[in-house]
Amino acid sequence: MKSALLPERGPGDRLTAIFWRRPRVLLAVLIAPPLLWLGVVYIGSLAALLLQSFYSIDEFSGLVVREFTLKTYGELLRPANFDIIRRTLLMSASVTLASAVVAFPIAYYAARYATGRWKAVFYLGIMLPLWSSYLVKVYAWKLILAKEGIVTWVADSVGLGFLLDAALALPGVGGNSLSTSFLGTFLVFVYVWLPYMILPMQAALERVPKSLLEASADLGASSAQTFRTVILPLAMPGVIAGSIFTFSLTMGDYIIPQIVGTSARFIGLAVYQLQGTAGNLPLAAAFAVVPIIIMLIYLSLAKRAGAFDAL
Amino acid sequence: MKTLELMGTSALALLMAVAPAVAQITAIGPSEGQVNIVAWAGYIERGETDAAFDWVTGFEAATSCKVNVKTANTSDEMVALMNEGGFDLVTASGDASLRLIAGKRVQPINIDLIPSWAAVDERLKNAPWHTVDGVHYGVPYMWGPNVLMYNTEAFGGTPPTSWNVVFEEMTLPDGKSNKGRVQAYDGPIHVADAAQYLMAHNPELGITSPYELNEAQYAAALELLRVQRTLVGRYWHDAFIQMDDFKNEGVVASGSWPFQVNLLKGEGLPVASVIPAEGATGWADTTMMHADAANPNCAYQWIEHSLASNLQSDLAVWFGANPSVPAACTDGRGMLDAAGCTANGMDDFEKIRFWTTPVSTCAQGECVPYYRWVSDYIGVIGGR
Amino acid sequence: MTAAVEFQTVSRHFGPVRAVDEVNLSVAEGTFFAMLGPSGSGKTTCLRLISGFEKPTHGAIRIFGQDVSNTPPNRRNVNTVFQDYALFPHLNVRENVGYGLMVKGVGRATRNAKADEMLALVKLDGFGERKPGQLSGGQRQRVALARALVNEPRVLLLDEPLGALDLKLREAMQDELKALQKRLGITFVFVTHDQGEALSMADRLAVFNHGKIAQIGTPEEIYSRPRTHFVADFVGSSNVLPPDLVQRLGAPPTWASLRPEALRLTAAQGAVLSGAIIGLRYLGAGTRVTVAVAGAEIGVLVPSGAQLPEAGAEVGIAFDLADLHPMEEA
Repeated sequence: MKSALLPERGPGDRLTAIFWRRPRVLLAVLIAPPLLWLGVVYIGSLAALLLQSFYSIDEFSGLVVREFTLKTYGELLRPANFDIIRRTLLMSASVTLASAVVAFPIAYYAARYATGRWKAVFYLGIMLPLWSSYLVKVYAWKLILAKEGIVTWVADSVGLGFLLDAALALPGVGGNSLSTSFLGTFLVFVYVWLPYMILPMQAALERVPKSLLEASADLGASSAQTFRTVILPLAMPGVIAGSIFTFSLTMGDYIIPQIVGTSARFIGLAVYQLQGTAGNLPLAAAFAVVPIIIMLIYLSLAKRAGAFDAL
Repeated sequence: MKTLELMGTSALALLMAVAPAVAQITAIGPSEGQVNIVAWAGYIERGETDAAFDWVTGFEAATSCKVNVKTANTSDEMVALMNEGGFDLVTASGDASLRLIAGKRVQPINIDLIPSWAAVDERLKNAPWHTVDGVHYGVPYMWGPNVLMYNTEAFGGTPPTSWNVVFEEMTLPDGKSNKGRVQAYDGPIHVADAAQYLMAHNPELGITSPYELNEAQYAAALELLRVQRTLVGRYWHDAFIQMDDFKNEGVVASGSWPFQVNLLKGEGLPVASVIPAEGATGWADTTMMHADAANPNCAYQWIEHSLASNLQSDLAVWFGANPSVPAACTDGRGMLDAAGCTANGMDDFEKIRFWTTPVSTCAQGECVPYYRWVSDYIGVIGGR
Repeated sequence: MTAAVEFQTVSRHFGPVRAVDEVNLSVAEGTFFAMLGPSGSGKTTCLRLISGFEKPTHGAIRIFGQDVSNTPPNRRNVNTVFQDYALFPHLNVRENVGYGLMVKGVGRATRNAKADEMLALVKLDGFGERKPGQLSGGQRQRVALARALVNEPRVLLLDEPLGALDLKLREAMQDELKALQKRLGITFVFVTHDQGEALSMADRLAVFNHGKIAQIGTPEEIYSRPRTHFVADFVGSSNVLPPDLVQRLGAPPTWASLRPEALRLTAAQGAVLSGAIIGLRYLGAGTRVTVAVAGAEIGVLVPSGAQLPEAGAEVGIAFDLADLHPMEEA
């Protein structure tokens, strides 16, 4: 007669049995390594950073004084340092906004109209720039935006040079050439981080059923009304997810403003320079805490706006 | 030099309090197989950029010490790298060397282990940026001026005679403004260039050394730098990015190193360099050894090699710099000759004010320390 | 009188597929019109042609006499109840219902009052604050209905609106929809694949097959006098008799239909039609008995309570000749 039980085949089956009887054991085994990694390496280094920011630097010897003080945070408010924070925030916000505006039609097309082969082409087109070296891209942009670069040449040869000159004459963001102006830094940022906006946006748009758009039109809404009252609110979680990427990536970057721009510091660059210069690790740490705080504020605002309701 | 020595002596009192003597090795043992060096771009060439310039492969063959190079773009980067550790040697400029000594990142050098020490330029042997209380924390490597590089077409063949072309708005000989067409160094030490310009043009400020500035002198220098900010599109800190800016960005004048000048000339660009009437700041680099160098034997052999080989001669040609061993100008160990030495400013030693780390204690009492230079220069570049 | 909806030889092709193929159709104002057919028969495409989500490849569509071929959906005074309801998940029930008014620029107070009125109409008083996700399927269906009615359309289109509901709820909704249509007096065009639903609710109905209308008429006409084999089969599973068999029964030799409930089982001897029972299917209200007669299978509906023969038994079938309806096509 055949047994009701199948024979045990070895340690694999025994382990399976343990996991089946105690599902939490499996969970613990799976989650422990990443948790350890997160706890020790990530949270640990974050704590060390936080600790550093409460130290200060001795002005005479340039050595770090390991005593609790808020002096270093106070220094953040000095005009030159506060400029850096404000500049970085403004840049991050405008890059995020522009990315959202540029990404939307692309994501919309991909989510609504692209099928089969075109969808593959879309993904390839979006991902391809992510596979090439970040530095190569930035240097390429430096050449594209240079005074004697492609953009100037094209603008001049189609007779739109005056537009470029007008843009460069704008106070605050203009400059001698695109490559040495905030406009240039902005353009490169938007280019580099755009995919991080498109992909979550596309994912969100793809989840909006076509019938909702038809229902809206059926009830009398124009395309613009449908966009404002149906598509945009429903795509919002994707927009927020994308903006978290573009915002935080812009805020932390220190390569692009070194190569394209006016040499004016951004937070990332300031951190990079301060931790090297005279070893002002406390101020570097305090600067590094700023994006963390800004992101926390941003996330809580996004949460209040209902961006995570769909999660 | 007098002020430099004074400063060195005053810094010394401080240093002795914090830096106990580090044990030196007394004999060179067997090679460890490698040596890790932090160096300026173009300083350590193995014939890969240009086959004619190679002072590494011979060393590696003779000592079986493989040379690993990490290039740094600014003195601050060098200090940061040495703070991180993992390196044996660094070619530190004067604005980094004292910081490295004060931070106990480098160890005293036993000059008895370096036979060629005797051949080192007498003017450099006891230079205050590496010698503290008679203790040598390094061996002179190379020195040179921060020249004014300019585009010969924009200047109509007449070399500029003053640094004012990068400090004040003016119409250049080609009829166009210099606005947006000049550059400045993206390092706080550039404050010294402004101070040096003021030394010549605003004598009432009483600046005696561009590295020792009281509050009033410092404020005037920053004011000048703020004017410069309106002229500069982008500051330079990477030699190759600066070269690219001269090629594609329409930049026609900037403080620079002979290194970029030579490379751009080599590419056929209409550039030349000059030391204007105000004089020039300059760098005097020192090979210094990390306090925790893992490969001291190879390191000592490299130091000896740096003085004895074709390095002193060929690097001087390559970089447009001056050798620390005067004999290299004439003895034909490499491509350098006496005329070349003169061209590179070998005889202008006294006119060059070498990069030094500014500290609070100075000849006129209280000076603005480097720490402030850093944050304020960030402010100036940020438009403050 | 002008027809509420009129199709004049309307076709809609998707590449080589003729989803709607030269359809002529006229829906009188105030009627409850059903479009019945299996999936892929073109009924939903016809509905989308009326709402404007599809454009005809050929032909003209008129709504109350006006050619709407070039009118986008948002400018047609027709509204749709979607198969999946298509409620806006980010808006609450009141905002969903008031949406059609909002996009027309009606003020919030009026909008909310009107929305609440509509919710009362569909018996959802007090549900205004909820989100669609918090409602049951039947409730969502009512919200979709209220939302479509708020604009007071002259034609209401319903795309299988009851398909996702369970049987009991579906029957209740059928009655309610019918009552609502009578009360409002507006034209309903209702798409379904459920023949029972179509027959019980519609004033007139069109049976679709392969993009064409197989038959159009009142439920009674369609049910008792199917014009084609397809209609007979699809609407109420009529028996279809071939011409030779019909001739044996003493009628002209054409294809003919015979409803199962019009037949009675008798003794095999002396019966015009007789054969062996090859299947019995209990349906609750009765049992459908399948008898093999001269190469054809004939279904007989035996009411519950009557005595049932066993499978394999020889039986005869009796009926009135008046119930034998000749068909125009096979």
